[in-house]
Amino acid sequence: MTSALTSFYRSLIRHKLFAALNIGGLALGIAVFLVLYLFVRFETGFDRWIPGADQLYVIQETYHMEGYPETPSPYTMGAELDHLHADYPQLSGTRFWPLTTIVRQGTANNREDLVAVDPNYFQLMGLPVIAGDPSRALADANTMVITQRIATAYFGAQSPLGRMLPLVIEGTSYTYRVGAVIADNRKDQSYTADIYVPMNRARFGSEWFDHWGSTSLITFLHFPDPAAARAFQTELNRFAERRVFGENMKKGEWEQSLRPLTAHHLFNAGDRAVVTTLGAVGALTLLIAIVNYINLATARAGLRAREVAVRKVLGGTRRALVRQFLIEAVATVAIAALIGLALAELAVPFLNSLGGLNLGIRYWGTDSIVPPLVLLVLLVGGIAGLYPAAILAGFRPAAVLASARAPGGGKAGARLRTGLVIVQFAIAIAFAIGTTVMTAQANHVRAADLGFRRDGLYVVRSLNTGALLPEQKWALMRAWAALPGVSHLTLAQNAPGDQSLTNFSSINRPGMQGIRSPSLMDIRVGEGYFETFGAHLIAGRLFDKARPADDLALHPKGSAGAVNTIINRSAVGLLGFRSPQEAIGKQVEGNGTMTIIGVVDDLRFRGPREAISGTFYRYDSRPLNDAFVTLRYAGDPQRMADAVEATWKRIAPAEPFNGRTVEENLYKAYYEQDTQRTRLFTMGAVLAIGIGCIGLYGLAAFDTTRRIKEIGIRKALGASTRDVLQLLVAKFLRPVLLANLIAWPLAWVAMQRWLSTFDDRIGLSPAYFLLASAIAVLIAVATVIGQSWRVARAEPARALRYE
Amino acid sequence: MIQLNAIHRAYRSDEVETTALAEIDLTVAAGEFLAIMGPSGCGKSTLLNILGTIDRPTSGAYLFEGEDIAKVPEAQLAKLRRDRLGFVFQSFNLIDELTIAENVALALAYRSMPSREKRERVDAAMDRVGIAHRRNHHPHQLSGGQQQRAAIARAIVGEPRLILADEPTGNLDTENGAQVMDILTRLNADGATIVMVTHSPAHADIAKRTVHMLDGRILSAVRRAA
Repeated sequence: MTSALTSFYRSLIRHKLFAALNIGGLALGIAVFLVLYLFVRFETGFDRWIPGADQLYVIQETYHMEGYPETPSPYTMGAELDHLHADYPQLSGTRFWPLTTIVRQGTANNREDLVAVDPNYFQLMGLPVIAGDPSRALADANTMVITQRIATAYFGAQSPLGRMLPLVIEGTSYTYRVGAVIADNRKDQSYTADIYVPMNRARFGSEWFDHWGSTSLITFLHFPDPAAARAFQTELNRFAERRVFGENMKKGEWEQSLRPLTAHHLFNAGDRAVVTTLGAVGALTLLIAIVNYINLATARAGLRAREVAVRKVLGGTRRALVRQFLIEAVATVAIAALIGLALAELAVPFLNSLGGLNLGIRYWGTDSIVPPLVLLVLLVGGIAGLYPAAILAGFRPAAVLASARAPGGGKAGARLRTGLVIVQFAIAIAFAIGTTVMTAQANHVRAADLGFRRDGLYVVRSLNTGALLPEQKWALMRAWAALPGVSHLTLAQNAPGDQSLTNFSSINRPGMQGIRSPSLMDIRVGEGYFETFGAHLIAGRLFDKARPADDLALHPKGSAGAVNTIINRSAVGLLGFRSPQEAIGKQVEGNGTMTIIGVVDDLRFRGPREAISGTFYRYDSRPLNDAFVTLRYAGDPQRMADAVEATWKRIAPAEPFNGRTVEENLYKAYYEQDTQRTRLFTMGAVLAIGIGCIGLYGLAAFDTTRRIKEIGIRKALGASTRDVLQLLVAKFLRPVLLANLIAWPLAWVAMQRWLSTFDDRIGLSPAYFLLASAIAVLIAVATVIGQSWRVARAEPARALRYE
Repeated sequence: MIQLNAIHRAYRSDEVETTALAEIDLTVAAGEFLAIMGPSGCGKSTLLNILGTIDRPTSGAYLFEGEDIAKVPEAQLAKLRRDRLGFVFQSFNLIDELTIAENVALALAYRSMPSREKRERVDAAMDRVGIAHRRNHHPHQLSGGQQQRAAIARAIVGEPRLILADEPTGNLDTENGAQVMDILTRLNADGATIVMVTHSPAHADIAKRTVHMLDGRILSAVRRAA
C-alpha cells in the first residue's frame, strides 16, 4: 500500500502535464456535476421537506373550451371545501387564500404577503414553529401567525407573542394579535406567506366566494396515501355531476383533478424538461470527464509499460499490479473530487446570485454531500482504474521490452480511445448546438415584435389594491399625464407582464351555425389604451370616448343595445371571420351584445411560451378596479420612475407604491427564469467542451510523444512542419468529425422539443448546427496544433535520438 | 559537393555543456564513397546528422553544392532533404503501421508527381534491392537484412545525389551485411555520393576514403586508389 502510494506520488510528479490534465479535467467535471446535482436536488426537493406535504393534494381545474388554455389551474372557488365537507364528512382539507394587505405601523405602510387559512392549516402543513401554537392561534378570529421575518421587522428583539398589528386587508382595516411565530419561508417552498389569519368568509369573501368557475383560493385535500387520493378522483367527478354542472358550468367543458403538492413546483412540463436537461448536462459532463480520465490513463499506461514489464520480470503478480493501478486511480479521483468540491463551493454563491437559487453544500445531516461524493470517487476510480489496470497487467513483458516503440495498448487500445473521443465530442458538440440555439432563441425573444414598443413604457402596479378612492385615481392620472415627457397613459385591467383578473367569455355569432363558440379573453380598458401601447390597427377604428356606444359604463348589465368592442387578430379566425375587414360592424353575443368596430394586431403581454389568446377589449370610462396604469414617456427612465413615485407619494401617501418599467416587468414575470436556466446550461456546456478539449490535448500530447520517432523519420525524408501538423491533426479530426454525425440528430430532437415549449420561437436552422460544429472543430484543431507544434518544428535529429 | 568549415556542435543540458564536434573541416566531392570510423560517442552520428541537415551546427559553415545551409530556413531544408538526400539508419527506422511499399513510398509522399510515376519508382527501387516480393508485408514480419534493404530502397527511391548511411550494417549478420555493402557499392558506381558511418574496418575498406574520428575531431584520412 505504502509503496503503491509512493509510486503514485512519483508518477504524478514526473508526469506533471498528464497529472494536471487528468486531475484538472476530472475536478472540473465533478464540480459541474456537483453544482447541477445540487440544482436538480433543489428543484425536485420543493415542499418535500415539510412534514405532511406528501399527503396533501391541490384541487386543480381544467377547462376544455376552444380558445381557452388547457393548462390546469390550481385555484378553486372559495366555498368548495364546505360543499365537499357536506357530501363527505370524513374528508380532511384546508384552504390557502392570498389577500392584498398593507401593514400600517406609525407612518410606514408596507405591503406584506398575507393569506387567510383554515385553522387546521398548520396541522396538515407541518411548517416549523418557533413560538406559540399556530393551530390554537388560528382558532381565534383576531389572532394571526407570522414568520420570524415579520416578527423582527415590526417588533424587533422583543417577544412578538400577544402584540398587536394593524392591517389593511383588501382595503379594510383590522387589528390582529400575534398568536404564534413560524420559521421564515424557504426558497424551496411553493406556498409561502408571511402573515396567516383565520379563514373568515364574512370578512373577506365577495359574491364570488360561492360561485362555481371563480378562482379565489387554493384548496388542499389530505389523504393518508396515494391510493386514497386516486380513489377520491372519481368521487370528484361524481361530486361535479351532483353539485356543479348546470347552466353556468357544462359537463365536458370543465373538470377537477388532484395534484400532489410535492409535484406542484415542477408541474409544468417545460420546467420538468429544464430540470431533466440540466441534470443530463451534469451527468454527461461528468461522463466526459471520466472518459478523459480513462483515455489519458490508458494512454499513459502505455508509457509505463516498460516499468510494468520490469516489475513483472522481477516477479510482480498480476494481482499486485492491478491493485497498484486501482489505488492510483481512486487516489487521483479523490484528489480531483476534493478540488471539484472546492470549485463547486466557489461557484455556488456566484450561481445563487446569478440564478436566483438557494443552493448550498451541506456536509452533515440528512442531505450531506459526503456519501454521494465518496460513492462517486469509488465508482469513478473503480471504472477509470480497472481498464488501464487490466490492459497494463495483461502486457507480455518480452514483447514490451523488445519493442522499439512505446506501446499504446495496441490496436484495441487505440480504437477504444478513438471511440471515446467520438463519444466525448458528440456530447460536447450537442451541448454547443444547444447553447447556440438557446442563445439565438433568447436573442429572438429579446428583440421580438410584441405588437408594441417595450421601451419608454412604465407600469404602476399599486393601483391594483382596491384601497384607493376613485378621486385619488383620477388625481393621480391627471398628475402623471402632466409630467414632462409623458405622451400617453392608460388605466386598464392588464399591462405587459401584469394581469390581475383573467376572464374568458364564450362568444358566439348570431345566426352562425357550425362554429363552436370560442372562449375569448375579456379585457376592459380605459382611455388611450391602444394609443399608449402603439398597437397596430388592422381594420376599423379605435375607441372614441365621445361616442356613447363605445362606453361600457353607459351600458350597465341587462340594458338593451349593443356596446362596441375591439378584437385582436387571433380572435378574427376563432370567430370564423375570413379577414379582419369582414369582422367590422358584425355583432357577437356573450356578456351582452357587442358590435366589432376595430381589429388590432396581437399584443403579447405575457411570456414567449404562452400562446396569445383571442381577446376582445371594451372601453370603460369608470375608474376600473384591479387595474394598472401604463405610461408612455420619452427621456431618462430613472428620472421618470422617480417622478411617477413622487407624484404617488404626494397624492396617496398612505398607500405603498409599486411600479417599474415594462421591460423590467416582463423580465421579472417571464424571462428571468429562462435567462437563469440558459446561463446554467451554457456554463455546463462550455465546461463540458473545455473538459473535452483537455482530454483531446492530453491524447494529442500522448500520441505526439509516442510518434516522435516517426515524425523524425518523416522529416528526415523531407516532410515539412506543415506536412507533419497535417498528419497529426487529421488523425484527431476524423473522430471529431464523426462525433458531429452523432451530435446533430441528438441535438435536433432535443432542441426541437425545447423550442416547442415556446409559442414565439425561432425555426431550427442548420446554421446553428454548422456554427456550433465549426467552433468545436476549430477548438479541437487548435488544441491538437497547440500540442504538436513544438514537436513538428523540432530538428529531426533530436526526434531520432529519442528512445 | 560538400564543404564543412570549422563545424562546432555542443549540447547543453541544465549545467553541463558537452562538445560533440570540435572544429571539423571536411570536404566531400561528388561521386565519393566516404567511410567515417571511430569509437562510440566520438561524434560520427552527429556529423552525419549535420550533413543530413536534420541537426544544425552550433557554429561553423556548411556549404552544400555551394549553398550555405546555416542561412536556409527550415522549410527549405525539408525540400532539400526531400529532393537531394537519402538516409539509411542502423535501426532501419521503418514505420510499423505501414507496409514495406508504403514505407518506401514515404520518401516520395511529400513530392508532387503523378501517382503512377511514384508507383513505378517504388517498384524499381524495391527491385533494385531485391525485396519486391515483400511489398505488402509489415516491417516486423521481415528479417533484419530485409528491413535494411527496404530502408535502402526508401533512401534511393527519390534518386538523391547524396546517401547518408548511419551504421547500415550494424544490426546485421555477416551475410546480410555483405549484401547491403554490395548494394551501396553499386549505387556509388551508378553515380551516387555516399557518406557512411561504420564500426567495421572491412566495410570501411570498401569505401574509397576513410576518416577516423575521436572525441569530436577528425584524426586522419586514408585515401585508397580508385
